[in-house]
Amino acid sequence: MTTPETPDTQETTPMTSNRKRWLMVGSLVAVLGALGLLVFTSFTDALVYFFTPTEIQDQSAKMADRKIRIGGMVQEGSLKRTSGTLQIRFLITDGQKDIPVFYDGVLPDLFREGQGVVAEGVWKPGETFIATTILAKHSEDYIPIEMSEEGIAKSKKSLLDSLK
Amino acid sequence: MVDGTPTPDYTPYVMAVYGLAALVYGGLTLLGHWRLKGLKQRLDDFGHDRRERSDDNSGDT
Amino acid sequence: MQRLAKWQLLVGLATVILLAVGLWMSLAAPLDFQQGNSVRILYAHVPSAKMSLLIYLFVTGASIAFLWKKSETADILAEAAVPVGAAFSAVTLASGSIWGKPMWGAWWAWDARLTSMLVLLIIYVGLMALRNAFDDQGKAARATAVLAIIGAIDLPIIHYSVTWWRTLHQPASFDGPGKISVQGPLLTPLLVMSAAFILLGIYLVLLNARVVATRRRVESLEDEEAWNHG
Repeated sequence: MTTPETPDTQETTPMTSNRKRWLMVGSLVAVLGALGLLVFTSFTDALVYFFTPTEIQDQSAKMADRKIRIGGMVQEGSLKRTSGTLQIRFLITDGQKDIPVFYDGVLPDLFREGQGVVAEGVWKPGETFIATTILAKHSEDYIPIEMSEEGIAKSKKSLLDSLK
Repeated sequence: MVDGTPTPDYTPYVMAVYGLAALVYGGLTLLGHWRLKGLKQRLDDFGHDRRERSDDNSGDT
Repeated sequence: MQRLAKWQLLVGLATVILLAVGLWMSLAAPLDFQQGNSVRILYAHVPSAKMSLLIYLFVTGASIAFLWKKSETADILAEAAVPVGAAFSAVTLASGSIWGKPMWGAWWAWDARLTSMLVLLIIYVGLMALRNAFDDQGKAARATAVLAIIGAIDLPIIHYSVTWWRTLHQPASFDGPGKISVQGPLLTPLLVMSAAFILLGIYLVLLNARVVATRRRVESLEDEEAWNHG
């Protein structure tokens, strides 16, 4: 190797090898960390996104006064709006038990009676679930608008089946 | 919609998704062709260098 | 190489035609009874999601073939497929997010499906980074192959996430031959787009494989050059 090149290589090599070592450790930590966390939590209940009304009623004390999610179907005929406000009250059901929910805020477009819903908030045993966030849950059914009647019945069934 | 309310129009959301998909997949295609072109150019340059050198001192690898 | 280029051109032409037909059908699809025209997002989202899993399956197979048979072709294909899979999974996550905002009322939810899909994108990006973290091409290939095989654990988790855990994401609409929950006129564009995306995936992997193979040749010539001159 010729002399003029030597300082050049000495300057760049530690830089690149440092960067490469960082890249190696970083990518291994990111991939194995994310994967490990996912596999580990898959043996716990942490990946269960919401509880059903039956689970909440059966373990009322355990579920109380902490932030949880409840999912199910908006019971038909249960939705009551307070006029002039965004406040609503409705029942979430899984076909067996139900939970009264109170919410004050903007609703997603898919929120309606007879359809899936996930509410995030706090359960006050014997009273109401105070929701701070309402998410709509879609069923796996995709049906043209001309077949709405059939679609409503089908998606209701899929949803309740999935909660069993 | 099913409960009688008019169906909202989600065209902006649909267009955002289609636009994004076109950008990513189209971009990946263009990037691939552009890199291939550059690499082939370099490969050709090597070919020229070699021929020139082997003209200079034939017998060298 | 020349034959590969010809195949790639053919696949490319078929992809463009099928994508054009699929796009036209997608935009002409009827409104969904719940989601209105936002159902059209499905036609980019679902095929992208399927392809991000299929490409990973391919990367896993190529990685096993490389470690087992020491085939450089397998390594080139694995290297070429990873960024393609990353693009598919990134579009899956972004398009799902854009659908989720108006439909669910949230851009993101840490449910099992979304989280395991995000992990897949992290794996893809991690594989690209890891390959760049070595000076030695052989070491890079072995390390990347091993990590890719470990990462394959995520595939069944993604696939079964909606069955194993309660998720915000809807369950599979195709669950065995007896259960297809997408009705006729909404289904056809999805099938065409799925076929188009399979071709698109093959095209992008072939194109990238040529890039990787050519880059390796240039690099080995450069090394030779440096050796001869040094």
